[in-house]
Amino acid sequence: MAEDLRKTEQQAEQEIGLNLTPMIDVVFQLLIFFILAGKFRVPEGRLDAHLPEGGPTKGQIDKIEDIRITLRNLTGNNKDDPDVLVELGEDDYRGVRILEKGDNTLVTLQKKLGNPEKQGVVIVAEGEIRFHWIMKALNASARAGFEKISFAAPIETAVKPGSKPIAPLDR
Amino acid sequence: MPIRPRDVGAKAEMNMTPMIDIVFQILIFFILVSDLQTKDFAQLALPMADQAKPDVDPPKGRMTINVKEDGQIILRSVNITLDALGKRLKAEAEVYRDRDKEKSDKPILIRADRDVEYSVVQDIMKTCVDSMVWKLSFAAAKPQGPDRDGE
Repeated sequence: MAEDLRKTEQQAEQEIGLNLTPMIDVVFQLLIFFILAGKFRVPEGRLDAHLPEGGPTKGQIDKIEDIRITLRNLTGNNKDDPDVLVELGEDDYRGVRILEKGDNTLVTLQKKLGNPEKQGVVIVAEGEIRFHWIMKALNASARAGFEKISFAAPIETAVKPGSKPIAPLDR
Repeated sequence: MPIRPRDVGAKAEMNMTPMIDIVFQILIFFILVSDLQTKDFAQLALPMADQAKPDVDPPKGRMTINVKEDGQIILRSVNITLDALGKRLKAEAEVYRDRDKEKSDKPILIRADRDVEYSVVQDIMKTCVDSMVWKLSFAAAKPQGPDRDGE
């Protein structure tokens, strides 16, 4: 009788504990999964542009009131070395530096525009050009403060009839 | 009579509570920072643009078109042809079409790899024009650092 009472007392003194081991196992599995599967996203932004409402037409590029940025692949093999030509009416400038940060060509041209709200930039490019050059032109236009940035039809059809041929870039 | 110590049967246990706390904190951190919404966003090397606006509040219903370096078009993690994209665009653009106008207000985000040929993007843009979609944005990576414009 006394022995039974002592056993009961000893059992009562033992703590009633939750077995945490399976939970810790699962939590560690989840942790390892998220460490391995998780990818940190690079901060992304966006540049807005408008497409021509009437579709790609030759008429759109004939408008002389817009600044035209033309990107062409003149070197043949190297698709990552385009010729950049910026035109506004009779003025034209050439060189990839125009698209770089710190160049004021586009800002200067924007000041020459009569109606900056309606006039803007038209980007014309050959299909072979790497996309990041198009984004450079878009970025440079946005940096210069243009709000109206649009894209012209593929250069094969969009090039202005009678326009002067583009000579290889002299840098 | 020998005196038996009272705690002779008690097990020596490690206190797991702080460790579990920390492990849960780490787990919650990884769950929150790991991007689970990447269905729309393929792994691409985006072009850099310092003028890119933060894409914090994307327009509702915006379609994201991914273009890989080899020219593959990916929509919601699935490879898609230009024709199929055109059909999809036309169908979805209808919902956003203005009553009085022909063109649609459906927003489109093009996420193209920096080294893809422009002709691929041009074809997508032409498909957008054919579907009367004109509201277009291009995804760009924001350069890290104060004095860089990327590339």
